Amino acid sequence: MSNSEFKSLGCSKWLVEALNAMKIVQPTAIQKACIPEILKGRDCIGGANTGSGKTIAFAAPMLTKWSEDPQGMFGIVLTPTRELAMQIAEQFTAFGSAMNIRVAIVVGGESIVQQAIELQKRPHFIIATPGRLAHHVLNSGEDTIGGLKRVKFLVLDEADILLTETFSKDLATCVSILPPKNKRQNLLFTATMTDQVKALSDAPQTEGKPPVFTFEVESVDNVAIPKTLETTYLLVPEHVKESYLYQILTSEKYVKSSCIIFVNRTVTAEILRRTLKSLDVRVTSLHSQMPQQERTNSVQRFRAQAARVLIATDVASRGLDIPIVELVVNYDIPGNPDTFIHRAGRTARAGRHGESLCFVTEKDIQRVEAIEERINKKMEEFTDVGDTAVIRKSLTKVTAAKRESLMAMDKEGFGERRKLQKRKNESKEKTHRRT
Amino acid sequence: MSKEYSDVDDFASDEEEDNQVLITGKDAKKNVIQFDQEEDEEEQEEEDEEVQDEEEPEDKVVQLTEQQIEKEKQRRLKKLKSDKKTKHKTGVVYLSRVPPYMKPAKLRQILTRFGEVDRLFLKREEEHKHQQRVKSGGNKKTMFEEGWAEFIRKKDAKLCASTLNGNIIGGKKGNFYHDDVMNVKYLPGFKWADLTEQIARENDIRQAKLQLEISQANKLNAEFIHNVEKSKMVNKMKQSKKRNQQESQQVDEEVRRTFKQRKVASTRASAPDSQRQSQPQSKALNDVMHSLF
Repeated sequence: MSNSEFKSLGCSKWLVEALNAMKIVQPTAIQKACIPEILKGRDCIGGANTGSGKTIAFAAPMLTKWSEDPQGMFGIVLTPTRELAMQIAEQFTAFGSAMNIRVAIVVGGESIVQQAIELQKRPHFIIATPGRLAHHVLNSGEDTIGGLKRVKFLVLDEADILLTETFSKDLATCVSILPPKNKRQNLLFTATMTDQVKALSDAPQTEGKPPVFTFEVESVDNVAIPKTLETTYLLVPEHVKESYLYQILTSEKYVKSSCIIFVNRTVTAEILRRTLKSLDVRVTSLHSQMPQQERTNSVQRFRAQAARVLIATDVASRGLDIPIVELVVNYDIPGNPDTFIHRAGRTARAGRHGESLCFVTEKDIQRVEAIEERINKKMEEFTDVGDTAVIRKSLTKVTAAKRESLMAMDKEGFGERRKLQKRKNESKEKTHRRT
Repeated sequence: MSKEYSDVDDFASDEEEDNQVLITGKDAKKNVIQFDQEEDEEEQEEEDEEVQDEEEPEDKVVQLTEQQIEKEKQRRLKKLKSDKKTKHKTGVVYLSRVPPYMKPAKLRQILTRFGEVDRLFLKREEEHKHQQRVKSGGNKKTMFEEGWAEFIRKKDAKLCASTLNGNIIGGKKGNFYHDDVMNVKYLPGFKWADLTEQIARENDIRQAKLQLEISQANKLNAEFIHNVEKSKMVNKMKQSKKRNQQESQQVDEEVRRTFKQRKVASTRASAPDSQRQSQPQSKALNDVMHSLF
């Protein structure tokens, strides 16, 4: 059989068949290494490039173990973003559809009551973001979250970002209700080894448990990005970035390709979306100041190619697996070189070809140098779109469109809600401190 | 009060529904003022007049003798003065609540009992509210939340407010709206223009700002184009220089200007120290880590 590989790693027959039906035949390096060890019952820390199949590396052994002894609330997967949670849940459902699997998504921005009802039904797997799960742990009754005390698996996907200050409080709440650490299996997966993850892998062995299994593909070859990814840069002044972007998106080479544009701020994302929309580019956006319904819709629209350009903040930089993406544009250069790796990792997935383009302004030289050092590769200059073309075709048009969208945003009060929320939180904290 | 009508769209959105009503009101007024438009253009009403209306009286004027023209002028002047007066005399009432699903036409009919109603505006309920109502099995009809009505005579407006406020609509006993209690308030010293003034002003400011910004952006663009051309020129000069000198000596690239660079902040364990973000670990995070492995 062609897929004896997965079987030899110890996966159940039904799972191998399900994977086979999805044309997943050959296990990747991280899957080969991690699946047998996890099946043995060891804790695991896995580090591998973007798009190297980390999801299956923890899904396959969990599903195998679960099918041996099906029970409600078998495993919890924590992810940093809502969209990633939905994607993982989709994959779990797809793999386990033959076994009547029940997967619950517990993420922010959706009905709390609905989620509580779903938790009461004892789903087999819970895919959650820490904030909302913590809310349930704190506020729901015993019948809703009692099952969490018997969880067998805890997975932290994108562990490097989960193990930061941002999530620490919620994470602590979530972990507090789970069984003690030697009664469950902990799996950490990440594309970046941070101090925290390193510290965990060096942590002393807990009693009654085999030692932690640490696996890092990255250390084999020191290139952090996929080999099929082309990296280019374009030197451009700050205030004409939009014009260049528009020209590139409408240039012959890219007029039909799907692409993701990464920005650093939600405001920039909104400006760009409006500008490009008024210039008749099929565009959608994803950032934290959109209602959850719209966020989900826009990811689906992009997946279904109803929109060909997705403008996103770093909320989309991790984990999202959309195979059709051909070009990733770093409209703003991220401060953290590893963020670049994650962003660029949205394309060139699973051996496909992909391109990543950086817009470099006069202030970003240092950042780009840090990125080049990190990925161990020099970027080439982007030459497909020249200055003359931009000046002649898009400059005036785009600037007018940008100003108009700025005005419209001003009128509609973009960002007001967030400011209000911030003020509310601050005043709440103040009263909290006083009491 | 500005909050209630701060959104221009609200005004626009009602147009399909009560346009006829508004137009009938306008037409009535147009007839009154039709004659006094051609010469006193500065006195023109804010309402947009159609071209047709202007042409008709012109033809008439040609046929008249001079004396008659003089008379006509006098008459028009008089009319204009009286018209100004009527503008002064208008009164606006505010309705804090509109009976459920009542349409502007019906409301106009009710208010006309007290005197001639000129303009009427009802604010439609918000879209998501409507959707929610329909979703939970409610009526699909449009509901209006509040409204304003302009009476040609103040007297009528006051009468309307004092009579209708807090009372049922009445009429025939079987009427659908017979028992609905109205809430009408006369707004003293308030004109219809006050309602739209703020929105119009805001729009004007926005438009002016937009023009200003676009012109500024164009200046920046011109500068950019200039710079691109300059760089091309400089590059060519450098090339030709190189060719002439046959690389006899290294051309010194002097640094003309430096820019303040944005910060690099890495959290990776193996990153060089210059890029590392100093991150004091909090107790909470430590606890989590301990409870994990």
